[in-house]
Amino acid sequence: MSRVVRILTGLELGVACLAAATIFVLILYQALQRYLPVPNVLWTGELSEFALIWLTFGAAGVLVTRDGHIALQLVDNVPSATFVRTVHAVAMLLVALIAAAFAWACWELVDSAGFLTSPALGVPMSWVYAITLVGLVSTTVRALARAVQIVRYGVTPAERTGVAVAGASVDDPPVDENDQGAARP
Amino acid sequence: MTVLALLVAILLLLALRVPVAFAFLGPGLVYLVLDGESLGLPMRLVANAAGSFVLLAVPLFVLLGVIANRAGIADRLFDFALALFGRVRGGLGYVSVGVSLGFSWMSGSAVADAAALSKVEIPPMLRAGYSRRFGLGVVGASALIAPVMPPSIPAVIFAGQASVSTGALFAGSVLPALLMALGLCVVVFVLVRRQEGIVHLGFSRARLAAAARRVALPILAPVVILGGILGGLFTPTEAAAVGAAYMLVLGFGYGTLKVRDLPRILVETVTTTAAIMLIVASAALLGYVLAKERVPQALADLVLGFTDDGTVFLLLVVALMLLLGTVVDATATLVLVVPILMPVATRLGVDPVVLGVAMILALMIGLLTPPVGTVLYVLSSTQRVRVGEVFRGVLPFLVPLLVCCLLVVFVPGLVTWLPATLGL
Repeated sequence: MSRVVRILTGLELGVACLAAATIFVLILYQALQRYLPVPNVLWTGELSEFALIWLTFGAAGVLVTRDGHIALQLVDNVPSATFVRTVHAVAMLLVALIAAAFAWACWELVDSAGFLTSPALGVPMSWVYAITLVGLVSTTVRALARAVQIVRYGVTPAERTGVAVAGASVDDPPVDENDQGAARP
Repeated sequence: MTVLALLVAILLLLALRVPVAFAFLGPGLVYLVLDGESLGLPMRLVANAAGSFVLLAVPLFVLLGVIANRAGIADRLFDFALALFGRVRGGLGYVSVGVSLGFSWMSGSAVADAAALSKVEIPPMLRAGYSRRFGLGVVGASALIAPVMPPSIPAVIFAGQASVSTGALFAGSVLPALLMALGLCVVVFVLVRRQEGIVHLGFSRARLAAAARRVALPILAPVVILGGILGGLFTPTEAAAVGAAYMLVLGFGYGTLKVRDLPRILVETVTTTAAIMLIVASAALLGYVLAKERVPQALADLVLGFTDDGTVFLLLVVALMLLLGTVVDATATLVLVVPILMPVATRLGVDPVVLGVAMILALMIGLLTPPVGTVLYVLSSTQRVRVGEVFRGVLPFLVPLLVCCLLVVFVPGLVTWLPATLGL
């Protein structure tokens, strides 16, 4: 089971990383094409915008598992471990519910936007929303799994201090300390 | 009444530790469905907001900061500042402010800055006889320069929400950020007078020259980024990509980055960006609902009934941001509050760039105040001390930061002078 989760995490992060790399390369190309004798490509901005959507929703599910979404951690200071565990579990169930509703909304969009194409690339908009849908479904499933995990095993100390924001995973090996600062301005 | 129910629902979800993005999305979706809208509308609003061209700068500035962090630029800046200020009384305090100032030109995140620099700066301070509390305070407070000095991620988000020129906001932030650094140096000057037994380092011209050579190329990054934006060569988004590419070349050139580091850099970038962007996208849905309920106009009427003075309005905004900053994440506050405050600011004739800089400054102070002072938690984690100890260290440094906020409110020319001079 953990192997499947690891593969899925790799795939989701892979899509998000590919999207980030695409944004970097395309925007760099867009900047340089004004000053270098390279062909003028019109669709760099449009594809970058789509990549930002894919990045945002592609990593949304993984962030649930890693407690990487930004949340108010006021309840974490409550001494009662049972109370904290209950609140964390309820929060995850609510995330699952909201993500499921948006997955449904996204499915409607995928279903209805098939005839629409993007202005520059001419790709069907349903393709754009399809990756978003996958991210939302992953968020739903991961939030449910996380709720069960919290009920069974409780909340990790990293989650209670709230400094494990962008790196330290709940179920993966810890990453190095440089990662911990990233998720906030 | 509907808006009140919506806000209560959001607050309840936030108190229940539901992530900010989902706390915005859930009630927003319920509102639109009850209002008879199609289910596709909220999703389209959210997706369109996530795919905004202006906000493409967010992942790229995050990438720039992550690469600078991993390329060991902080170490080079530290060596240079140490060679320059080491012999001054309390030199390591000034070194801390100076390194944060230098690093802030490459990183827009206070939390990343605190995480990276605390490990470099605090151990030498302790060895030189400075108190741990002083070290924690100066490193934590100096980290706040990063999100104010361009390239600033909150500034990009504010610019996106308020439809303000990112370049103007960047330019407007430079003087307040420098003032912050100056104010922190004043506190260092006062505090080190009371510290006994501090060891001072000797000055060596050769060491300074060697450190200067090591730092020469990294400190060109701001020239590439800001020079590119302000000189009209690149848009802020393009400048971020060029800056990241420059930093990547430096990292590989110095041998501090390897190809095998790239996946980790990308993962750190995407997890950070996704957490921010999901909030920004979800706030678009909420913004739509609030606009539909004419909340900005109602608030504008309310504020105008109370005052028609732009300065009083700015003061109220700063007070609100200081209060919200203690409990709510800065990104969430910006995306939620900016669309509501902008119409009021416009009617009162408040310069949007001044509003942006004042809001960002005030919100960032929240990173140093409990209960949600993220920088406090980061320092507590990296230095293995209690959060209360970090906060006690930070307290005296809050004074110049608050003074900077007030200066921006009462002397808006500090913000508007540079953008006006550059014709932005």
